[in-house]
Amino acid sequence: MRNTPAGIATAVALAALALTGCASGATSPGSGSATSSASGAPATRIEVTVSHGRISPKPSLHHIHLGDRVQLTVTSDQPDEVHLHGYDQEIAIQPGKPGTINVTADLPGIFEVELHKSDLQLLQLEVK
Amino acid sequence: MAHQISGAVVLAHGIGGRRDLPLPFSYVLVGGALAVLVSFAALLWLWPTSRLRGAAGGRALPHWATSMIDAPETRWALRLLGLALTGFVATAALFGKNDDLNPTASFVYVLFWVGLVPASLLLGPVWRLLNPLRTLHLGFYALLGRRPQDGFLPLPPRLGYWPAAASLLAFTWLELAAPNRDSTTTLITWFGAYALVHLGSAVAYGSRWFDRGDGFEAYSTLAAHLAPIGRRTDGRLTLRNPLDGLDQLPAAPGLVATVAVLFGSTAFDGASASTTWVVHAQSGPLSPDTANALGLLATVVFVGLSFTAVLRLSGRITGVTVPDGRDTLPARFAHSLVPIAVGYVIAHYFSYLVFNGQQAFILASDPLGTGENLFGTATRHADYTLVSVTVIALVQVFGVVIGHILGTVAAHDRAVRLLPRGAAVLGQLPLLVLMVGYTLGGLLLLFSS
Repeated sequence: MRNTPAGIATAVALAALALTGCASGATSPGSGSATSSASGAPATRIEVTVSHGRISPKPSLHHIHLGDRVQLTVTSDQPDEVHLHGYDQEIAIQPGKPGTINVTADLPGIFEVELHKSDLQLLQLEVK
Repeated sequence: MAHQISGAVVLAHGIGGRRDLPLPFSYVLVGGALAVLVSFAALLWLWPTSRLRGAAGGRALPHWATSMIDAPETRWALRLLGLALTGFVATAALFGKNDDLNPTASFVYVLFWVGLVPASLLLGPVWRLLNPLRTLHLGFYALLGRRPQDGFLPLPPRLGYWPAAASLLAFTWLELAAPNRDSTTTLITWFGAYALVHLGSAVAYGSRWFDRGDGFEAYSTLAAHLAPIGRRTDGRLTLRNPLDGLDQLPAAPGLVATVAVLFGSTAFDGASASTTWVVHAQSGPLSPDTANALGLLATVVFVGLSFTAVLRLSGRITGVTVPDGRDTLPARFAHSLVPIAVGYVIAHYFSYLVFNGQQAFILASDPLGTGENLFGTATRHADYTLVSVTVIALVQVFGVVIGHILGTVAAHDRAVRLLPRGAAVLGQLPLLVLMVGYTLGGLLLLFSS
């Protein structure tokens, strides 16, 4: 039918309106975990230990509220470099000595944290 | 200031390492519902006879526009631009430091690989002119006194797009599973080998090898079929409906494989970013690089096989007679997968281009690591707030849904053209279900974290 392309266009336009309506309240529910919602609150602490290539706790997604402070502590049995992508924070760590990255999570997105020399991904920070 | 600078050097490093937030569920719901709705509406109510006119469609551009764009000066300017850009990146790779501040990896993986798609969508098959290999071949053949298309051997038609599919698979392997993929040594080796293979083949078969043999040219050309500018059969440039452009894509061997590589590799890139996969790849019996290589291959093969199987099914249930046999049916519908693949590429790589693309421009100012500031950008930082999370999410869902709508309409038109009248609806059903599956799968990948 000749009207169908117009029909499709209308549907797309309506969808656009619906989405923009949703967009103004666009944080999806259920981002909860033990993080604080006020930026004046204490920093979220994340601790990771690497031993013989084993990462504990296992790499997972950590939910962080935009604006929270994050304190990431990594201990490894090998000398290495810890890199938090996006925020471009990097520290060198020595065997057995914990190294800490402190950052304010002001960029939204999902950011990987990895060890360069061992080429291992430690965890991901989801900031929103 | 939020960023702490550790040490004297700010690390503008690492391609990737950042990915988008999951799509809000409301977007997935609306997008998915729209895809399903449009698919069934198209099946039941869209035009009953083929309406797309392929190369005959579109409105011709004024003569001066065509002559300007096709002028030898324009073409040579683009060829020289391609050589210059390649030369710049090659210099950085060969003579620069092999560290995180070398611009080579950003240029290759972000500006080139991702940028090729919007450039081709807007301007047409630009890589055919920018491709330095084609220019080198042109020069070499000129020295031999041959026209570029006069190869020494005839190009076997059964080769089709297979070399392009293999080239693109080799590149996506490099991008997603190769060890030290950002290292200039790896990139020099890979592209050196690529240049040898394709230049050698073009010397043997003539410049037509590049059309369907060179993976990047094939990629640019496929995306360009969706561009608003096209070429009519008489050579005139036209302003046209992307669906007419898509309709012009000829069925050829290896086309399904090529689109399967493009779609499958992007899907795997998305799926392998999850921490579930990371744990599996890092603590499994295989090395992470091997696990990723196998995952990439499996995803590509899955897309290719599912598409082929579904079209074979359509062929069997409709009992259609197809010129050159029913085995060509998948290739005759492969064009309808192109917008779905391109839509998903846009969704997956949009923010990557915007954010990591900035990195390329910053690092370009000091290609050799000597402290230069050639373009004045060396001290800048990438702005990760250039586009908002909402804009990114909208681009993602629109990319996937519009790609799906274009693919559905293209498939429908081809079906009513090829399939017998009474069986057209039944014959389209398997492909429709598959496309909805791909789109919902794509949306789910964007939704999951």
